Amino acid sequence: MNIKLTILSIFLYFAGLSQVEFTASVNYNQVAINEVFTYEILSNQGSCQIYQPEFGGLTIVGGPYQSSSSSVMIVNGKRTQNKQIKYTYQLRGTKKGSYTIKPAQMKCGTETHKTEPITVKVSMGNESQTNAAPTTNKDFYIRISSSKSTVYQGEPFVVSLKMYSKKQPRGIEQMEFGEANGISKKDLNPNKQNYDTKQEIINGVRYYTVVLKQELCYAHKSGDLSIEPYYLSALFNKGFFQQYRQEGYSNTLKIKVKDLPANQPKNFNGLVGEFELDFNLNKNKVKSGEAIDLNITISGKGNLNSFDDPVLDLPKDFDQFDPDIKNNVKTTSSGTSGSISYDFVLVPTFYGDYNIPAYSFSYFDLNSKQYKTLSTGAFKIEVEKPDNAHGEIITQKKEVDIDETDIRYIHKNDQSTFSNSDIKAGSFIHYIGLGFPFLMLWIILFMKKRQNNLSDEDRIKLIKKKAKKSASKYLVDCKQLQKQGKDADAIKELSAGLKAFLKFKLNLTESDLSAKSIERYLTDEATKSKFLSVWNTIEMYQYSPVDANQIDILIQDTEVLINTIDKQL
Amino acid sequence: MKHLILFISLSTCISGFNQTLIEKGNTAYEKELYDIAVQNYMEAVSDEQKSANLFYNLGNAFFKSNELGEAIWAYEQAHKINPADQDVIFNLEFANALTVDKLTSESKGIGSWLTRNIFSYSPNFWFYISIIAGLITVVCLYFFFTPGSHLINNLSLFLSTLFGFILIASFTFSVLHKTRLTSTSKVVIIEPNAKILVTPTIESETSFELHEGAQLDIKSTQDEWYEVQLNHNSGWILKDEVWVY
Repeated sequence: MNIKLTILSIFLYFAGLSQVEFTASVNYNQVAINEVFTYEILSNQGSCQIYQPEFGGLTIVGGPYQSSSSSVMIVNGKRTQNKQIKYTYQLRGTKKGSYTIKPAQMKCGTETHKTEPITVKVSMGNESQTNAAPTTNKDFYIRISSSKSTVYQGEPFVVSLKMYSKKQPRGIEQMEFGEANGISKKDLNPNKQNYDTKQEIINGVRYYTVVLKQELCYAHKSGDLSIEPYYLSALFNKGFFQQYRQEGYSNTLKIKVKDLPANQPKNFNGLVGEFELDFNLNKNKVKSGEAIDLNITISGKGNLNSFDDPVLDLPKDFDQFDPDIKNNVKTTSSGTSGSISYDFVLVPTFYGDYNIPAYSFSYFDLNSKQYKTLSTGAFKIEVEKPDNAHGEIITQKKEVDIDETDIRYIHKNDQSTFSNSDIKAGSFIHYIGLGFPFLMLWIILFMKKRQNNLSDEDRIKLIKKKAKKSASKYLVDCKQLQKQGKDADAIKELSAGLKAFLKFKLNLTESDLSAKSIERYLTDEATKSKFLSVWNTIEMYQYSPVDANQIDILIQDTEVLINTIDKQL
Repeated sequence: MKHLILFISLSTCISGFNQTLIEKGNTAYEKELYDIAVQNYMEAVSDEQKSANLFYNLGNAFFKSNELGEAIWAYEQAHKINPADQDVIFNLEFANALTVDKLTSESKGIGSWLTRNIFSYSPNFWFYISIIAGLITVVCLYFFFTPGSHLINNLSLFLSTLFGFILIASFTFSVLHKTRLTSTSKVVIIEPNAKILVTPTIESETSFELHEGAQLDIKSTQDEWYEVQLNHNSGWILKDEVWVY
């Protein structure tokens, strides 16, 4: 920051004109041996008796020289007279050491006034400069100071720039402000043109002092922060028409900034101070399409400027317009204070009961040193159907906002797992499972094909093999019938059995089944005669009644015959 | 034939011990004790047991305990087992969006469509399909080879050809699916940042640097090193700095 200031007039006046002023001062409080310095007693009471103090071993070189001045001021018709008496002594120390000038006394009737004692250090030659505190004995120096040395983050404090000079300043030429990392500064009097000059006695030395700048500061970060030196050049009178310049840098100001406690609420954004939240809803029962006025006012003391505009978490069926903001925040040396008011207009577009979640914010309370949360509280708005429409006031389809801000939740339904060994693909089982049906198919088809490819002879052989089997069926039936006494039927079965056997065995057709044609196949004579006797007996028995014993013999004979023929052919 | 039915009816075995571990993990996750959830899920995984849901839940637990690389690894595993799960895809994209390195590994189009539709079934799905297709083919062939009416012959020829193709396709898919599930071809970086070196030695020069969550293809492996590839760049990375999937 570099502000060039043209020469500004400085009005000089003395504060507290009506009060008793009685002060003593030296022009240097650190001097070399035999160096002459000045001691002054100043009083604004002309009628009082002033007693010279004890100089504690210092030698009076000259004085006291008395001088007095008086001035008359008429402001708005009011006349004030100002009188000043000054006693000047010239002193010197002859030995090295610390000397104390005792208080001077002034008696005004019964009242006694005393000045402060002054300590003067007398040292060898140049030593005075090296041992001296850097600022105490200069003709001109500037300082910056803070109203608080330890602050919380966001807590306001005031930094003042003050100039000290032994001569009365004529004007300010230039000011530069040092950087302050992590601290935001706000000039309390940005358009200051006139500076008040005061007189102060510091360690017995009289200085003209001017407060050049006051800044309201907030720290943004914690730790030991520092404000870099400020630069100032001022002009002084030399004689009547000449001016000379004095310039210098101030000290570096250290500020210790404490971090806010760690348990910050979620809706905390750095507000520090004392606040109040005022919330007002003009109605909570409306028809859809009607407007609702909602007012949120934040008032209090603290860094209101860092307050974030409230965002209402409204249902989608509410039209919300940008709030009307009334900012009434003032900055004073005690910090910013005031109120910010937000007027929202809400228009429900659909009927129903809506719960509006609370709007809340948190701040750090400097008095109780803890976080506090202010909330509007959740509230309910009842929206009724409009009179004209049947609730069908939606003119266009609304888009459903889907904004996933987090990963999706875990799956809890299916917890079955598998391992690599559970995978059957490409395994032995897989090949067996695929190959086995095909192998079976091949075997089945092969078998069938073999059956189809048999020659006639083979087929006859196969039928012949079956011949005895088919005959035995008839014989079993025959035996059963015979036991039941149905002789005629038994003989019929026996005949059918023998014929069936011969038909299959000799591969004959039904018409060929005669004794003569069968005879030809039988090569063995014994068998031939046996066959003829059995055949004829069966023929005969079919038409004439016979004894049961004879049927038994016949059945046995037939069985023997079948066995014999079967073996022979 | 009875043997075949027996083979088919063999279902995937489910380990009861694993299920309690997963349930423990789920309970811990619900209580927002993500470290404990990770522990339980990892124990279940280390038992050679896996499922899309288990890896998905593990990924969520890793994600919630701010282990981005491990979370991506688990999501990728889940994606491998079930490429059609939308939740897995969403969370994987969500996690990938938080990685430092923006790598273009989007695979959309016919390849990903095939992957989604072929490999999203249970691990033995194509095995069963191939067995069933085999049986139907055999039955159709039987009818084809047995003398019968003209219609039956033609129909059985058509069906046996159709199911023959299904058999070949499902057998191929089953083998490919097994390969997909049992082999590993990629790595994900789990260290906050990792150097990809020019040669597999500690003193080697750095080829390029990547951060947690970046995914690379494995080209080859040597001792404690992987040779990895990203787009057309390749280099060597320590096995300790990555997890394979």
